[in-house]
Amino acid sequence: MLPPETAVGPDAVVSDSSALTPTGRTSRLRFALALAPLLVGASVLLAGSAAGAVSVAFAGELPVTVHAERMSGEDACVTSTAHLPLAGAVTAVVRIKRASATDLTVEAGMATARSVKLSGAKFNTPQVSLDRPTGLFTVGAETVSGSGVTVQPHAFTAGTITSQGVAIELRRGEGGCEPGATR
Amino acid sequence: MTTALRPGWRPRWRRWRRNRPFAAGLLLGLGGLELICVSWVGLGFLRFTGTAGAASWTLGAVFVVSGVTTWRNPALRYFSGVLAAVLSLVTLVAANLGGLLLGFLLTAVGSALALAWIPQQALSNPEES
Repeated sequence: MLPPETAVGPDAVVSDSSALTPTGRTSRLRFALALAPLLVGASVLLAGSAAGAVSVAFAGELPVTVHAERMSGEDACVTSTAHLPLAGAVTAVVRIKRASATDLTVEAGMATARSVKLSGAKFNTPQVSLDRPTGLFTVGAETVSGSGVTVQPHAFTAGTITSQGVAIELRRGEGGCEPGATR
Repeated sequence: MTTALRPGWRPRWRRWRRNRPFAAGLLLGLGGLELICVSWVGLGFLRFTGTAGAASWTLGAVFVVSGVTTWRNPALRYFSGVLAAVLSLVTLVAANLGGLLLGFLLTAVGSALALAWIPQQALSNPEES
């Protein structure tokens, strides 16, 4: 294919180089027709996810703080603050009324709780070396219950997360789960 | 003569931008990069954390390729637009809720722009719709 400068006469190029070259425009009608089904589909998926019918997969090492009133996964709140180049700090707050996860692994950087109860627990302390008998310990339990649990994970992975009553809120600035707790 | 055929970079850039669905390719590329960045924030390079992490990288790469395709070959905009539209819905369930919704919005609008772009000859057929 010849370049536009070759396809047209040199005089035309000098007078108006863009007049004879193919241009394009965006049809607003086509844009609306293309975007509407996407928004409808997204609404159905999000509504299904909020109703617990659709599982969503999460993974990453996000700056996320997980706060749960009870360890059973009810009334959970997840915040993630991203420092965007132009908009500054933006905090996404995701409140989940009830959630359950499969294959959930949390690498916690900090964890606090008012009370935690474990049953059927196993406590493993691996021996790293002779002069350093224990390394990272792991705790496994059949059932866990607690209150006022806050976890700041370095990393987390989950095969699927099924949730009900999801509400997503975007705020300017940093903050926690409390309403209007941005600074 | 040679100078007349080679105008400055601004007219050439403007003509290059008008000859293709530029905004569509830009949004698709940004959306793909956002999906990757969401699972990569504060990390070392190439961290695949579970299925959603791998999906973020895979889908993000496909979106970037779709954006480049709409730039390099606008005739394939329907293929890349439909592909990106379908995959943008997939990101909602497979890739960190569509990159915390921002990646989904970028790719959905980008795919719609790719499907809505109409090439036209400026002088020969200005009212083509």
